Amino acid sequence: MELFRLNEVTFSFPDADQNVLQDISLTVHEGEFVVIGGGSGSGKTTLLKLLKKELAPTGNLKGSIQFKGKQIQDWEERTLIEQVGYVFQDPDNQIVMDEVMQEIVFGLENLGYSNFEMRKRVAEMAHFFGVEDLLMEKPSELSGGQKQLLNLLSVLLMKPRVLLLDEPTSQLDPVAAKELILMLERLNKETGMTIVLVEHRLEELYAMADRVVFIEQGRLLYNGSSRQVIDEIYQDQAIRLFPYLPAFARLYMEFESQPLRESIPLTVKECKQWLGGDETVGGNAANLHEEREDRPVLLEMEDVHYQYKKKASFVLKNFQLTIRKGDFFALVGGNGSGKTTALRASIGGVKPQRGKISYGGRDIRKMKDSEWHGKIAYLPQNPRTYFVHQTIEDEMIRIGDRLHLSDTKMRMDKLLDAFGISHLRSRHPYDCSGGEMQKAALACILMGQPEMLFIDEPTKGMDPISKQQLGELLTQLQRQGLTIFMVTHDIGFAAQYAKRCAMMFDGEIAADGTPHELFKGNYFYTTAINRATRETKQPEVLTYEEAVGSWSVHATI
Amino acid sequence: MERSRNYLISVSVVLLILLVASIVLFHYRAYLLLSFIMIACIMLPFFARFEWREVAGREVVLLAMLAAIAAVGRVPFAGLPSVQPTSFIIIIAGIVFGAESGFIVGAVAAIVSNFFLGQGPWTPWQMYAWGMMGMTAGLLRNAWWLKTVWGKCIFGFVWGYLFGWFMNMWIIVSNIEALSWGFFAGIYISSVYFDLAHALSNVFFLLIFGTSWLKVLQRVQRKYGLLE
Amino acid sequence: MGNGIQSIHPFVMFFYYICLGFFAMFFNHPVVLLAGCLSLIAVNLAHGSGRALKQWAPMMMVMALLIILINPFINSRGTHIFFYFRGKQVTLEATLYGIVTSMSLLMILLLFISLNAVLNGNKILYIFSRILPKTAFLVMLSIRFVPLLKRRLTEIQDVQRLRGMTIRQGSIRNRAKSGMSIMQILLAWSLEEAIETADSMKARGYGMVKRSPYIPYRFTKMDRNRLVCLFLLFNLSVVGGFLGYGKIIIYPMLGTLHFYPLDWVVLTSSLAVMLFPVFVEGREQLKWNYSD
Ligand SMILES: Nc1ncnc2c1ncn2[C@@H]1O[C@H](COP(=O)(O)OP(=O)(O)OP(=O)(O)O)[C@@H](O)[C@H]1O
Ligand SMILES: Nc1ncnc2c1ncn2[C@@H]1O[C@H](COP(=O)(O)OP(=O)(O)OP(=O)(O)O)[C@@H](O)[C@H]1O
Ligand SMILES: [Mg+2]
Ligand SMILES: [Mg+2]
Repeated sequence: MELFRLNEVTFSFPDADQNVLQDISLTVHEGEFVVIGGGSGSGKTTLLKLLKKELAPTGNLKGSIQFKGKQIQDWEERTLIEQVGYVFQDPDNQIVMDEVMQEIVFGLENLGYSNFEMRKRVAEMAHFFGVEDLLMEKPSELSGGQKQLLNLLSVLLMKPRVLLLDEPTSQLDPVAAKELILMLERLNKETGMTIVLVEHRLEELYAMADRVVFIEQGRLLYNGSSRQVIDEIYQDQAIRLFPYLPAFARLYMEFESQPLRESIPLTVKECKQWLGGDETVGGNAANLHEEREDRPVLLEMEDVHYQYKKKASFVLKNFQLTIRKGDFFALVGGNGSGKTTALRASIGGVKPQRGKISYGGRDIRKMKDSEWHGKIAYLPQNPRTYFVHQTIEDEMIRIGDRLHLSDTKMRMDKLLDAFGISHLRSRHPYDCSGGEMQKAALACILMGQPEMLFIDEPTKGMDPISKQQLGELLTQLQRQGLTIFMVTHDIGFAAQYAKRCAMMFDGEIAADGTPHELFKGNYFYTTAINRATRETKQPEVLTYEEAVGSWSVHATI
Repeated sequence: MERSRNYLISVSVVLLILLVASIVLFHYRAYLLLSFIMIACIMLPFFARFEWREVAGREVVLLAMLAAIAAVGRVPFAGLPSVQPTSFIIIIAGIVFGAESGFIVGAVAAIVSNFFLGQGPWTPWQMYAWGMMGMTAGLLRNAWWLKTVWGKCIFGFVWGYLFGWFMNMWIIVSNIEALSWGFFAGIYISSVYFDLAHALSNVFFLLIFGTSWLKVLQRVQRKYGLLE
Repeated sequence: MGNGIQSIHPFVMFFYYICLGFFAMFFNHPVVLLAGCLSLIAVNLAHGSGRALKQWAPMMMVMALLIILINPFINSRGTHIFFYFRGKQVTLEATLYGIVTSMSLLMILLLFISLNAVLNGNKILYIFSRILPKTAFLVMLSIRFVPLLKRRLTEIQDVQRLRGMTIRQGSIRNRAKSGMSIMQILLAWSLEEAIETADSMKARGYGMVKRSPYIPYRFTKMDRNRLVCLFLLFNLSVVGGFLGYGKIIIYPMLGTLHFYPLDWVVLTSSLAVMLFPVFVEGREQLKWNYSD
């Protein structure tokens, strides 16, 4: 049965001259798992919101949107609220009530259900999700993954026919993201619920999706089964879209002499079968990092202990870390493992109860706030914390004034150009998209030529191309002598660009080394391509780029 | 708009008169009790209006967020005694979003901050004082003088004192039989430093940040078509 | 839902606090007020608020003493004169009035210490959500935002500190200015994000039909019986009070402090009300200790 049918939908925002969506025709059938991909600003969120009548943005809509064969405007409000569920990107913003139990029944309260019905549904669903012991908690005390699960639960309690999700995993660590995706798959398989998902991290979704839809600049480019879309993109040689495809599919298309659409590998298992054999050709992780030890130490954390509240457990326990000048260091770890806290401790944002932190050989407790200024740059998880003024240009000029720079204007133009955001200079930072805002903040921070950059989750919500640009930019800066301390969930990003990585667990650094040493052989804290190439005839690799570089030339398989 | 404004003014005036009249006319001894009942009666119509009116989700969230921001406003100023921007935020909210919203933000900010600092018999008085602060700011927002920076500063200064006086009221009311000019003056003199600090910090904030905060709020109002 | 006092339905406990607040401001016989203060201390101890009590004790003591000491000197009404101080009479009436006032205030403060512990956030909002549902919802939402805002504040402080905006050092003026800039970022940021919260509410049908609030607390038969008992005893005490029992006349001339039989009735019934949570808690303890 057809659930949604979009007919030549064109949409533009009130005072914009360009259409955000252009002639989109699409049908979603009952029970399908549809994944929508595409670059930042391509109109994915807009499309998804148009499917949920209550959230449909105001603007100029042409064409028709039908739900179960009837125009979406003609449906009764209540039916649509119940049957179409929507989960947003940021787990924090969606929570309304002060107690988990109250939060998950919120929708049912609004629709006037009886207490009996509420209790019944909660009992069933809480059991299915295994969250009974969370019901009395405060949402503010949950981890990111738990919060997103709570959001999902509160939507599911209304028994929707179709679930729309807008980048639900962008704030989650690899394990929590995987759990959420598996939960969606289970729902899809066991209850036949229709799922429409917008996501940048598509890698694992290709295997689950019944259909993949690609949007670029408001136009629907590809629409079909996963393998069909991959095959078509390769046939069209749409190189700009390659980074969106799963790494093993790319390998297959590149290395297989005669690629067949039906045998494009989508899962680790399929990829292994394709690569074949168990001839452990040991990794080339031999050439380790001896030469770098003579560089001077910039940041040193010794035996740091920290807890937020007196009776709470320690977030940092025995935390040790040394960062040398010129390092590009990435700290990975689960939601709530204390990565941000470690970062904040190293810039003096939290005062550890025990332990010593020194920067450039000096105890940071003895440093005045003014001494930090200009030397260190910090970009937190949310770049909105950074902006004070009304436009990006204004912001940068003020920074120049504060630092008494003589060449403010020149530096500003150079930086804006380097980041490719010159056209946004007179825009309010909050009116930019997430990726643009991140770049703008980074440009502002680099005005002062800092010697060390602290950056928290820089790739959150970014499309693969922007990620690539950011990665290259950071690498370039590092080559010019900037020391970088990055915190991230994104293993792929860390593996590709960082020179040194560490994994945080239970308040301390559990392992520390090069990306190769750290990520090879893990189950979750690694890239999918690593899992797929392990114990095969080909050398084990972490990233697609590495494979292209190190594997024997085409047609060896 | 015009009707609701008249309604608000008349209700609060009538009830205030009732309060004074009842104290003067009836020789009833439980003044504190009476004052609580009166405060409840004064505030009830405002809340009742909010209950009956059609309120959009966005409006509720916005008001709740403003009240929460006003309540946590004390946090960054923990090191500076008697300096807190709560009143400033309430005044600005009243000016941008009008009398009713100003009242709700003020009253709710009082409840919320006391949820974390402890409720006490002063809660209703605080609700009333901050609520009135927001409401008067909203009522006067179209007066020419409140549109000037100096007008706002004078308004903030006066309310700095009025707020302190309202808060002293509950001590006076609980001790009204002992009321003498000496007692009265004593109470007010003892709080003069705090009131002055409050009034001056209001002026300081309104002077330096009034315009930019108004801009921020008006931007939000425009962007989301809220509470016109 | 907890045990002992915590298991009593919020309505019943709320009614209890209203009764006690009423008593504190209604009766003025020192004996009744003293009984009230002691009962509330017992109640606080029974539900484990000993620490909060200790924390507030110095402040309450100072306040009570101040009122008792100051009142006779600034107030010279009354006929039983102790002595003259700077030409003004210091009277027994004024002294007693000070004592009564401070006890009444003490009782109210004790009541709130207990109330803050027993009727915590959700319970008190639950009560008000029956009377003022939208307002209670607004307050609830606002309370939910507070921890979020606090966390955002620390984040902003970190970022801005490294941009040279500090609230830890410098003149008061500059610190206040920095603090306010931080608040401004918090405002702009949070209002921006709050729109998503509003959308999430809308997506789940907020404001569509009348809400049917989820009731987390069950009103049991036991609760009903307790409420009826409280109600009857409360009325008995109040009627007694209106007839002049449990009260004394202070001004213009001190009346008798004598305790008549009906005074005893009022005292007993009000004491039964005041100690009601202790009985509940005690019964629970007994059950635990003497049942197998
Ligand atoms: N309220 C709005 N007013 C005007 N333009 C908007 C509005 N919201 C989004 N846009 C513009 O519409 C385009 C599509 O935005 P949309 O949010 O749908 O992109 P997206 O594909 O979801 O991007 P991302 O991956 O970054 O989330 C963008 O160019 C954006 O700037
Ligand atoms: N301001 C705070 N007050 C109290 N507890 C906090 C605060 N900030 C963080 N925590 C707690 O400390 C722990 C570590 O938090 P932290 O933000 O460092 O984790 P993280 O690894 O950065 O997580 P994420 O990947 O979700 O960003 C979490 O359990 C969190 O709930
Ligand atoms: Mg989007
Ligand atoms: Mg973090």
